[in-house]
Amino acid sequence: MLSQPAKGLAVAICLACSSCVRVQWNRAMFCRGIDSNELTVLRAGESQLNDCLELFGSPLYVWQAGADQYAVAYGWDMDKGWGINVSIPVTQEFSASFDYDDLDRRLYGIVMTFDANDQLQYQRQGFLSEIAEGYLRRPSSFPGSGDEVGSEESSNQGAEEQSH
Amino acid sequence: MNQRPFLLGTVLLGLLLPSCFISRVRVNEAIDPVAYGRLEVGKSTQDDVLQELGAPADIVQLGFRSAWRYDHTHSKNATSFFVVLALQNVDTVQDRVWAFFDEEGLLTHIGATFDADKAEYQFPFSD
Repeated sequence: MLSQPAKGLAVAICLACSSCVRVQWNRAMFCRGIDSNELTVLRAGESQLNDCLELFGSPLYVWQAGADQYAVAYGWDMDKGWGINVSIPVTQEFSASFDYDDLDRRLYGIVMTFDANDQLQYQRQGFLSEIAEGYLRRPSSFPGSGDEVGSEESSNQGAEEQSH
Repeated sequence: MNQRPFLLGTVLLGLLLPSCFISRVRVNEAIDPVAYGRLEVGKSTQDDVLQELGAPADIVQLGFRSAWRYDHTHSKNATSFFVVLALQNVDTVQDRVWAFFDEEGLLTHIGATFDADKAEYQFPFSD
């Protein structure tokens, strides 16, 4: 058992460090996932773009995928994790812009490729960073528009898990 | 009179009250479902889409065809600090519309997702 002064010291340290040392439990969700059972409804060589749009709604990305093909991608994410964060704020800067580039690295989803007649050719499921290379190679429309939240020296250690 | 519970309660309240926040971030204007409903595949043109939905966030060239993206992102962040423990939950959802046009600028396909109102403030352990 800790003595009374030791307890007081522990509480004082906790209070003093609370602004720069944190044990964090985070969860970040982006959009709602698609049930993999629904994917079986669409068939390569039969289904059309209309079927896809009616079933899953609007895709996240659309891009040219070869001479006579284009692809659409649906993506979602749920990151859960804990960690220890030590930070020393230097300045504060915040941009409300939405950073698709950062999101691309962790999104899970579906890519469907259609031919010039809007017929489904094939579909793939996985991390968009691996299956949507065509989109990720596409140059950004707005260079330099990403988040600039920096200005904080920090280290983050912990465990993360993803569920999809 | 025993003031210990009162003092303890005051200290706890002081520690907890300033240590929680919620925030909300919206990116782009909300997409009007009524305006979206006025668009007709095979009839509406790029001009009609511009008039109903405004300028797109992105335009993609698909051979001689094109596709326009509209999106509205809504994030809700709920964070609680308990001395050195931080619980944070960020829920981000979108309204999205993709409009596909042929080489003449006629609307051939359109798809919409209206989820932006479904963002929620939650704890990270909530369902």
